[in-house]
Amino acid sequence: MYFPRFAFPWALLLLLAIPWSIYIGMKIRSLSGGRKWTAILLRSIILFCLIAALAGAEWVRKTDKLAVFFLLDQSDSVPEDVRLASAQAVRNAAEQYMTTKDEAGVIVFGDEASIELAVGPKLDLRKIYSYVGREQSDLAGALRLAMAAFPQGYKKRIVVLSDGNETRGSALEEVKLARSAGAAVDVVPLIIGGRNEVRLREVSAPGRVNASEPFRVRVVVQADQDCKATLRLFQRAGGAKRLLQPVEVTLQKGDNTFLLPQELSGAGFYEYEATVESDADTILANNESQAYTIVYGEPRVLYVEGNPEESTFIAPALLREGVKVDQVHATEIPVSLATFQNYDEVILSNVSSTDLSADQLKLIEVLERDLGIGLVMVGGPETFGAGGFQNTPVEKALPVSMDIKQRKILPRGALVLVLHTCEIPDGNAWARDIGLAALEVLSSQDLMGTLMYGGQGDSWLYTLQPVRDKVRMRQALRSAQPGDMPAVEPTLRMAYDALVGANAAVKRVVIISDGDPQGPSSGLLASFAAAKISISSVCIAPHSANSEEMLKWIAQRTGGNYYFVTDPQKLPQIFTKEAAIVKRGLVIEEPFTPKVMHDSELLQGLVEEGLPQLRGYVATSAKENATIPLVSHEQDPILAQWRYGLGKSVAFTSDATNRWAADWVSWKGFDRFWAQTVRWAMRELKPTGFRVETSAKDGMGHVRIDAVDEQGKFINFLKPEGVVTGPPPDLARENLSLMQTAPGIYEGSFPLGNRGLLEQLAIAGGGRVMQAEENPFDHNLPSSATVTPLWLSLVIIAACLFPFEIFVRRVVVDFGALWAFALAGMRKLPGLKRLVPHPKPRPIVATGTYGGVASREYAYASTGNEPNLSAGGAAPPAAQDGAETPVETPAAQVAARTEYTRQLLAAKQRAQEKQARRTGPITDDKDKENP
Amino acid sequence: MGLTRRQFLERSIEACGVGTAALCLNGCGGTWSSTRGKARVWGGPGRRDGQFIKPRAIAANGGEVFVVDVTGRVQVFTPEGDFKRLWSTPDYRNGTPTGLAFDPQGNVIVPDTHYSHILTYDRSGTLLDQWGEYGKAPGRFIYPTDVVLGPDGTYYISEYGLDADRMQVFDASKKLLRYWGGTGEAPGQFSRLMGIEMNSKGLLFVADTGNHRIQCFNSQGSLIRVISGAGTESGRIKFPYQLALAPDGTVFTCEYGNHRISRFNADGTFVATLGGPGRAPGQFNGPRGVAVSDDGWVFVADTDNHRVQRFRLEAWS
Repeated sequence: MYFPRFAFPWALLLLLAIPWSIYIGMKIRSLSGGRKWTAILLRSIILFCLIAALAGAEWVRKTDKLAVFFLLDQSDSVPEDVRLASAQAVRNAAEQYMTTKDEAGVIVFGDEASIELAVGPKLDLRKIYSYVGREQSDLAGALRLAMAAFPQGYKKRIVVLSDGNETRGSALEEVKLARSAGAAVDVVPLIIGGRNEVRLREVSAPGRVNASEPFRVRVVVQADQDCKATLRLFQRAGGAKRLLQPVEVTLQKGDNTFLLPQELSGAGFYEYEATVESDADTILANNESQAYTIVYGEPRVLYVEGNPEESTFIAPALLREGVKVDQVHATEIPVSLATFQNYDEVILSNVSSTDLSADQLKLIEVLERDLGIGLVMVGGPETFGAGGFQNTPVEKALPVSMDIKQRKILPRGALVLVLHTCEIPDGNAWARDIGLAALEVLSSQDLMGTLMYGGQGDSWLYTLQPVRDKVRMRQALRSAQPGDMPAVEPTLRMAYDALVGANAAVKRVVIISDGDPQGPSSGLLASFAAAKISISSVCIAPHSANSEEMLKWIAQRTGGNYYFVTDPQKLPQIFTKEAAIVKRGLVIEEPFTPKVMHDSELLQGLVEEGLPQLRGYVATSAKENATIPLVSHEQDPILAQWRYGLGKSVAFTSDATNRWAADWVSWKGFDRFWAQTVRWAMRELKPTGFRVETSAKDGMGHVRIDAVDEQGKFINFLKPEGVVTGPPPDLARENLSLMQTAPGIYEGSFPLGNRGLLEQLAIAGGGRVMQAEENPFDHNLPSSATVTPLWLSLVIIAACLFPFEIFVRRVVVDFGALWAFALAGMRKLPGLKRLVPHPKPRPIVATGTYGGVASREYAYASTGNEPNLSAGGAAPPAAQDGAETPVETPAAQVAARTEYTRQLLAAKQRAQEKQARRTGPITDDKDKENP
Repeated sequence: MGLTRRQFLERSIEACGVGTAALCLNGCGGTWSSTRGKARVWGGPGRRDGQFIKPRAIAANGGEVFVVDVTGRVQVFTPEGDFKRLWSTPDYRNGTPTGLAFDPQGNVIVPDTHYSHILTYDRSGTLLDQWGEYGKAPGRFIYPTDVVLGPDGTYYISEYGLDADRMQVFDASKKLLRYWGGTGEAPGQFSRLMGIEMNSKGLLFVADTGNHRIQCFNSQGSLIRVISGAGTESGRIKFPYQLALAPDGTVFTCEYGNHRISRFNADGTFVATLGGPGRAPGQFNGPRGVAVSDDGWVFVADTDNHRVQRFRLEAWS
């Protein structure tokens, strides 16, 4: 269906000008009827076109055609028979419901997403050919792909057939985007298994207990029929999983509740996992459930050392002061929220951001903000800004910012990125992200350039230049499409040529590649080394060990770093760190005595005798709400503290080793300083009369608080607030509202697991949760419209018609004369002379004529009472008529011409007389008025 | 339309200019046409039969066209582009074969580049033989890229790796006879050795990809001549990946860097070039394979366009 539409309809009021112009046009007396009306018509069309263009005319094509993309989950969490059944369901739906108004396509997803069948009028899905890997479930990628692959001008529907077990990306975000782009998202939850079911409905344990306090773990098992089953309870603590004694039970149809008595002696975080096994069971996925318990005990600190070769002084100092410390290396940092629950504080000493995964960085922030676990970051040359913590979640949690804008003198750095990322999945996206990560670190006085291999060979995405126009650089990075680089030599040579003359204190190239391109010559690397330009290389997805060698060699020869990356998530941090190295001004190695800025409990009893000297620190800037007890000689923060969310954090930008703090480690106040600092930031756990119980039931998480005061009375009318933190990597944060359900009892619940996700998708996507048999080709979506702006075409039409309009008004075409001219011409052609008749002699009717075309003037009726003589050769209406009449003989022609001239003269005379009559008295009056 | 009034007026003025220009230009130009004949195109991105993900090498033999892509599939087509059958190499996760060759019996020889060995299949895809070991020592391979069989059954194998760009020659029993080359820019040295071809006179043409040239040796490894050099103008080449010999003895090479196919005489003189970057038929995007059939068809693995194009030999004249 087609119809026009106007963006600024009020401009259509101007159409009123058209009748007016017609009225004016009709008053033209000097034109014959046909020409007059042609001129009026043309002018009206021109006016209409211009007004319609001003009103923003658009051509809207509404279509009722529907395009449906089926997204099939191919990940391992969906058993093969279900995968086949889902493909069959798509086939059936297409056969049963697809009409000529529908088109459909199929996208399959697992580790990645791939178009199995593009949208077309036939859905010929006999077999799934695409291989997408089964270890992950990238639903978000599939949604993104579907939106990109939808044809224009269709109503769009996405039907997701999945178990909702999303492991990568955020499908919810993609669905919101799809919704805003006009697509509806329906979901078909893949039900795995049959009817005969034994399922674990609930496991609950008290949230917190005291050591050696008996408690019970409650397990509810639901059975569809009477049967026997084995109930197993596992206890997980600090990574070790222990099976408690299995229980043989007889289940009755319906819910069966079991209370398993427990007692825990050691403090820490305990997870309980229950499983049920029965022969009368079909789905195994719903046979387990978890709950957790925290046992109060003495606070514990997790001390993470970035450089294991350096002897540490903090951990022994804390032990001497009676703080329990577990010391680990940076690579051994826990990855789960549960393991962190064993600790009340985390100390990161000289830990680089590249030692932590993106998930861990996020986790550490969440621990402090939502769980109140303290964070202490101790400096060193590999941490804070120099360790690439800029723009990470950890930076948010710290009282100092890595951005050091306020420092006036900083050496200039120059960085060239060489991007060869096309060999990894989403290579272009990674190229963009790492480029942006590096760009964010650099300031306007630093230089940056980016090289890659594109359609035109090795080329600069943007040349080496001061980082002033970050917006343009970001745009360039976002649109980067690195191709497969055959050799690194030309690229590195371009980088060398640009850097060698650059005015910068630190010059660096960072190359990311799979190591497959032909390596550079050793001569080129020698010139890099001679010019003190280092090359860091990042190897990702190499073809073989040989590919790694080349990149390692480049880094070794030029004094750069070599990184071997298996997880692309770490790439942005590497580039942040490398960019930070270019800004070497971050690490300041000069002796100074820290100055006390503010009183603080951290320094209680220590400053009176004066603080020992420090020999270096990492430059940072203080955040607005932070307290800065100690500053350096250049007023940079040395010690900073603040509260963040539920937790507290401390930054000590110098170190606690012999490198910068040799005088401190031998200082008698050293132990006390660190003990005070660590104790201040420690999580506060005050035992209360509140008993918190968490449980999982029917896909929902439940929290129940029993609030009892010291006298054992219920505490009523509280307004408890809760926060639910999801599992890594997303660590989704959701507020939990708790309602009082009974005296002293407050309860709240939140969705768990996967069916929830699919439902959320359907809600966010404006679609439905469907059964496989339902019609996915329902035309209940609003029609999709394709809008074509028309203003340009209208303006062009008006511009083209305008000369014609003038032509019609101003030029008389004497068709008879033209015919005669044509005949005369044809007679000149050999052979045609006899056939073509001799043209009849024609009178030449007006002065200035040429080839039978006479120029004329027209007069409006308002002035038509007098003959218009302003332009040369104007003729009164009578003469006009005469012009159209052929005159027979030359004598008659002469007579006519004489007559015409005579008439003209007479008219002129009359006009002059009239003018004299009219102007005479007026002049007289004027004279009288001006004596 | 989302325009402000001001923008509209500005655009209107602009449009008048554009309109006038369009009118002036209209009818002035000639029609665009490829004067070099038509290209037949098949494939397209995908893993289905007859589709490709970055076809890496192509060969024509006995009325069939063989294409291997980065999914490790060797697909067989008729010269018209109709899919006939396929088989897969044992593994492709490290990387894929970069060449294809045939022995006198018509068996298909696949240098399994990223697995450092040579595979021999019969025409139906049954694996007949697999040999070669990883290593830098002579007789071993790091990345074998292409194979040709001499008339006496000797294997000529091109190879690259870290400082190991070289030609190796084995007898029919796979015993190393000789090797030559080395990494570098000097004549006789190589930088990323890719496609090789041997003509009826026993001259070996070698695509010295990283040095942007074709080197011509006799069967003993003595350098006869160097053909072309780096550049974008006609007659110069940029990253030649694969070679093909036409029945008349001319040498075709696909230029990954210039997105075109160039033809040279055996003596090194330039004949013609065709293509340029793009997606239209007759244009290429990073082509990595070229083959010429005995009956004068030229097949191009248009790698980054995920397709194959076929031309008449006469298009390069």
